Amino acid sequence: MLFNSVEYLIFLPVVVLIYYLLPAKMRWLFLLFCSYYFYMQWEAAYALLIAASTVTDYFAARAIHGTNKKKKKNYWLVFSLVVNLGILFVFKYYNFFAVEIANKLQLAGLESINPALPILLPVGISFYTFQTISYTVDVYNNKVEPERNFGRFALYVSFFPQLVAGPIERFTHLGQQLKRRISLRYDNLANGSRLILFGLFTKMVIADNLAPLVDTFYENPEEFGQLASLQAVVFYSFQIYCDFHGYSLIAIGSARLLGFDLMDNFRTPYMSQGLREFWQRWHISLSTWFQSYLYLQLGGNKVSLKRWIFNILVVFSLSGLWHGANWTFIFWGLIHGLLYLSEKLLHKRFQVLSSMWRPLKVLLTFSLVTLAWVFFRSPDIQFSSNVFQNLFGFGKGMAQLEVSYELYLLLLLFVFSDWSLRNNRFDHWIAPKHPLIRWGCYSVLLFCLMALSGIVHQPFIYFQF
Amino acid sequence: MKGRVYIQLFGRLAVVIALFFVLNQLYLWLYWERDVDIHSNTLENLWMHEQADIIYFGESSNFYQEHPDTPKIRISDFLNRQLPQLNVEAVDNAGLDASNFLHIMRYIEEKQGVKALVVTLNLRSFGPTWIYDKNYNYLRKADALIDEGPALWNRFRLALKDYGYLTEVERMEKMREAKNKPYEVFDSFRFESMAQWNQHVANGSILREDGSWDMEKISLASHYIKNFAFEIEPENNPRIADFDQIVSFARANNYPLYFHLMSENVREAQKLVGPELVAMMTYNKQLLVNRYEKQGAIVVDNFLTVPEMEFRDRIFPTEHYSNKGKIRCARVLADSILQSKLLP
Repeated sequence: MLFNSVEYLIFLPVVVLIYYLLPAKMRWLFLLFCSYYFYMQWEAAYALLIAASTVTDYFAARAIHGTNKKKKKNYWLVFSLVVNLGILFVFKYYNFFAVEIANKLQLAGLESINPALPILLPVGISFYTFQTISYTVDVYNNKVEPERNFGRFALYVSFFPQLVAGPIERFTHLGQQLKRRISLRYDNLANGSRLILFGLFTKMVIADNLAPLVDTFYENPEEFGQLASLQAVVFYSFQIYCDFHGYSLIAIGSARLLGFDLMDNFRTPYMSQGLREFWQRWHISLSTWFQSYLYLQLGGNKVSLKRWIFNILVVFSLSGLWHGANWTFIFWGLIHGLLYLSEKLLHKRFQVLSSMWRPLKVLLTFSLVTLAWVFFRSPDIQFSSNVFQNLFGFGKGMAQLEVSYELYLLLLLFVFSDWSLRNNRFDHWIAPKHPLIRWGCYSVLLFCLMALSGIVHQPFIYFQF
Repeated sequence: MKGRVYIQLFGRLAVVIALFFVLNQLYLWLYWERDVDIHSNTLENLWMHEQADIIYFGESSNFYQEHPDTPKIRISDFLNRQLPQLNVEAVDNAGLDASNFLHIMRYIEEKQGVKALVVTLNLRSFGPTWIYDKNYNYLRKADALIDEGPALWNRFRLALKDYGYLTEVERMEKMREAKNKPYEVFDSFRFESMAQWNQHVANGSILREDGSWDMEKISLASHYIKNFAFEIEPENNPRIADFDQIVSFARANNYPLYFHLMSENVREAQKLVGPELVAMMTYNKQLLVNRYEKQGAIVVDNFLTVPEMEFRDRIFPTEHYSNKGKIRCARVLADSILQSKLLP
């Protein structure tokens, strides 16, 4: 059940209505049922994987908390990590590595059978496994007490607004809210609806209208000229941002309708003045996860320079790998790591970056991020080099992309809204405005959403993760 | 406290509903015709026929033309000539099915002065190969856009894929299921299903004199199987449901309704595949004739009207006729309309 579907537009208000009509103590159970129902619309059997992850981490956390012995704590932590990362590896990475090894063996002249398993990638697996890992590690580090109520913990893992595409929530944030008694408040309903409206606009109007153009280009980039190449790579930057950001807003808005507060996942990342700031604004829940559970565990920056460089490259490469089982994702992560290091080292040695005119810094950051996205979008490294050839004028193609003036206007509208919201979120920004301005904005968003949404079916990009 | 929330909520909802109607008008004014042009361009044909006595709803059978047929004339044009006292106009496009016809005919305005409807009854369109054709999503989108209800909501439905959208995998799976469905009426056939029959035909069923496989004929025979070797199940067939609704629509609006049962190349089917296939085609044809005559429509049976040499396509079974074939069909159709005496 996608967020941008009639099924969800019916499901959500029905859930919200029943939720507030139920007695408070039954609400979490109802939400748990709805969350599993929601997930099972994708593939019923894969709900067993969430259940397995839930059971593993519920008992592992309790066992960790229930002992003072370091060895036992470590044992249960490792057990939890092995189960969660094992599930992730089998369903997401096994085929990739198995095929790579088989290919290498073949090149070496050794016979090998086709090792690929006929398994589909369960939706949201990268998100919920990381969420449960964060819980177990936080219990291990005494940052949080384990949840005693199994059902409530199961709800934390499977909470439907953020189950399939984040934000990846810490137990200290979402888990504690699940214990609170939530009363019906108008501002929750209003803010939730505002976020959903803006999220749908971002995803269905901007991302879904850019997608066909990007797909057309990436089907055969060598056919296209330099201008088309530039358009396509820039459009993809906005497509992936609007797709994921839109989905996150709908998730946050859906949770807000039920009285829950999820963390912001994006804070106008394309307004960043450097890579460091970009990673503080882009997919915040994932970048903070890697910071807390990998980077700091490796020592962070409290190590030698060489070790610190190693830490940065490992974290960024694994972050790339998280996005998908392909060398292009790892390469994309590595590039960001190298750019991050370059910025930090240049900043230390030269003051040139900090004294640069702010719009120039924003443009430079956007350009670097956009170029890196080429690897993210391409099926392999060779393909991305073809795209770069076209982009820098070494290609032979002449075809152009047919881009309507409306799309440029919509993009401009979005960029303007992003700039206006650079230190704010849409619901917080619009709430205090005069009613005429508020309803004017709603009218524009609603009209664009209903009249101008992209029609060709575009599956949510981050679902592949 | 809760009461106050409900009042605020219902107040805002009322504003949103009012806003929706304003935006709907804005959409109709600014974008609707453009969207119809892109996603349901046949609707424009309807708008062009300001003074049509008879509207002929068809697909490519109406207009397909190739050398040596000149001039380029539709069946509906020939019909027009046969009925000089009436003005016959066509609403046609390649691949249209009964669901498209139904959605379009709801836009007929009184001022157009339409007196009767002629709708092609294309046997092939009842089979899974046509129903789940690669244009499935496009045709369902076209229907959804011009469906009843607010135009703005219909447009939004397209973006939400609320038109029976099927992924490529789902579409192929549905086609595969239908082709593998065991025959019920023809359960004594040597083949249990369309898929099994097709597999047999595709595995060297037609040989040349030298004993080698005649790939051209085998390919054509396979196409005949895939397009005609099905049983129409009235309770489950989506085209049956559409035609039933067309009958209801015509009845509700007092339009005399003529179903034009298209000619099929039965002789070629007989030669290539055999009498079982012809029996199945005849069974389906008769099922349609009986069903719709019982419902009060006039079924003009042109099933065997066009002789083999007047079918234009030789590598695929279609209802594309030469001008001579079209004239034959038009004459039978005109005679039926005149004899029915339902029109002035």
